[in-house]
Amino acid sequence: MPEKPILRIENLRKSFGGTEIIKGISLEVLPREVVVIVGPSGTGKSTLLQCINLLTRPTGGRIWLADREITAPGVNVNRIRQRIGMVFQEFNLFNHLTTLDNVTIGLTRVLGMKADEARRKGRFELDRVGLSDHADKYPAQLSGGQKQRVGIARALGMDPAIMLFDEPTSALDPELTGEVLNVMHKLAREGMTMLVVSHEMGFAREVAHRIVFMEAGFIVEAGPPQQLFEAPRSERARQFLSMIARSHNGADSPEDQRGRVADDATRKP
Amino acid sequence: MDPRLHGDDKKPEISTFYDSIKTETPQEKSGRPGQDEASFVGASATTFHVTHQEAMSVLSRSLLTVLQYLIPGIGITVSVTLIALTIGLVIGTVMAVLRIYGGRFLSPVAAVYSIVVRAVPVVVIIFILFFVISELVDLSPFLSGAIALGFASGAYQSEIFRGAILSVPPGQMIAARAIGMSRFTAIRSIILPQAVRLAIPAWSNEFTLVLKDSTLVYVIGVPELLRRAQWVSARTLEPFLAFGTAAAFYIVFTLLASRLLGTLERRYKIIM
Repeated sequence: MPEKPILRIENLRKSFGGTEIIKGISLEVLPREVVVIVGPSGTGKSTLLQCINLLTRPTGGRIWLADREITAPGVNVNRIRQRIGMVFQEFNLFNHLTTLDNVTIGLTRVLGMKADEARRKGRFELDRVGLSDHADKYPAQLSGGQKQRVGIARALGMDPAIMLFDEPTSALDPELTGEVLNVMHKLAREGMTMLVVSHEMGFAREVAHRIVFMEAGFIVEAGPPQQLFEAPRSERARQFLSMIARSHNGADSPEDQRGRVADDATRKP
Repeated sequence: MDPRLHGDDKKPEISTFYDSIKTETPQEKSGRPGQDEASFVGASATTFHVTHQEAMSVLSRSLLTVLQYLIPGIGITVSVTLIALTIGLVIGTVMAVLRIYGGRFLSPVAAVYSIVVRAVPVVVIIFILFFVISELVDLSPFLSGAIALGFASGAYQSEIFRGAILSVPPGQMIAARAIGMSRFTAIRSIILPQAVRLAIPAWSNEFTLVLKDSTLVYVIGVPELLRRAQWVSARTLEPFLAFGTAAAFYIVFTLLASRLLGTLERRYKIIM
């Protein structure tokens, strides 16, 4: 029996001023599925994510989260956003709050959780991303990779139905991307539904169930990683992926290949 | 005249003088310092002939007189300043938030407040509040002066907080909204706590400005430091001593405030 998608996007359009950034995108994400969106910069990947959690209002099309149409008029956007976790390229941690408070503030101020209950939950989420020892530090005292893991913990705290990652490792030094990707890998194994904009091809090969190649506001091609990486149908996807593969030569090493094989059996949604 | 005699009859005179200003309206007591001055002219003239030692003793007595006059004014100056700053803080924060997040209707209101109030001399605001508003509501000169200063400071503080809010990185609001916070909650729990920290250096400056502007309430007869310095200057004929001591008090307050706010600034510093 085919599963019902947790996220359904139908003919989404978005323009800024007179420029159309997203020109009619339709996409479905199944529960526990990991979808990685790749494509040249400026093709509307980030805008697509911002439309999904309504940080940007789409100019056309409809979006459903589970059975609920979130683009319908009169929908409480704050309620919707609680259910959609968002991880930013620039982390956007709350600078004046400790690591733990970054996670708990949403629990107390949005979900109305009691302070001690929120702290318990916050510590659990920090533990999940391997940062329980850093609960009392401020963002400025953390490394980039740690900051991003706090960003992930903050989003996880809200128990989202789906997590959106907007180039989560692009602002990191190369040696720090691993710790973030490991956390994301772990979330995928735990069954978290994830929609990831990323140029981490190793991660895409290893973790994604589906790769979506976007260009100029359209989805050009989508399919399992193997198909897209090894036998892309469109010329543009082939060009782009080979270019990315060349520039990420080191990351796309045999080690990644091995991980992919080992994970193959468990990664079907 | 014997300096000791001078000292002896000084005390009761001050207390009766002080008592009288509490009950009189500013108009009634306007002639008074002059009368007191007259009785002291003779005293100062005679001391010209006394020895050096006696002169020093007279000077220290004058200082004592000056202090006795000025010290009751410290409380008034400090409370006018603190009340004005608090009122200004509330108005300034609200106006800054409205200016930035108020939308099409409230944002212009905040802008007009800031522009108009900053364009009008503070003394004019004090007069308007005292002579116009206190016709309608029963306000003491002290309160109407403090409120007028607070109203004026609110405009300057709104600019301070506007700048501070705008220097909070935009990603903070986006991240707050992304976890489902309402705009209001995001402003209150994410934006303002950071903006307030960023505002402390500029706010320290506003503190010293309001402290100095508190002298202006003397125009409606509030017996704060400057007005008292004027009285005692007329009384002792030692203007340098009177105004110099008042100046010293202002310097001490300013240093204390800067110190305190500097500590706050360091303690709540955030690195971004």
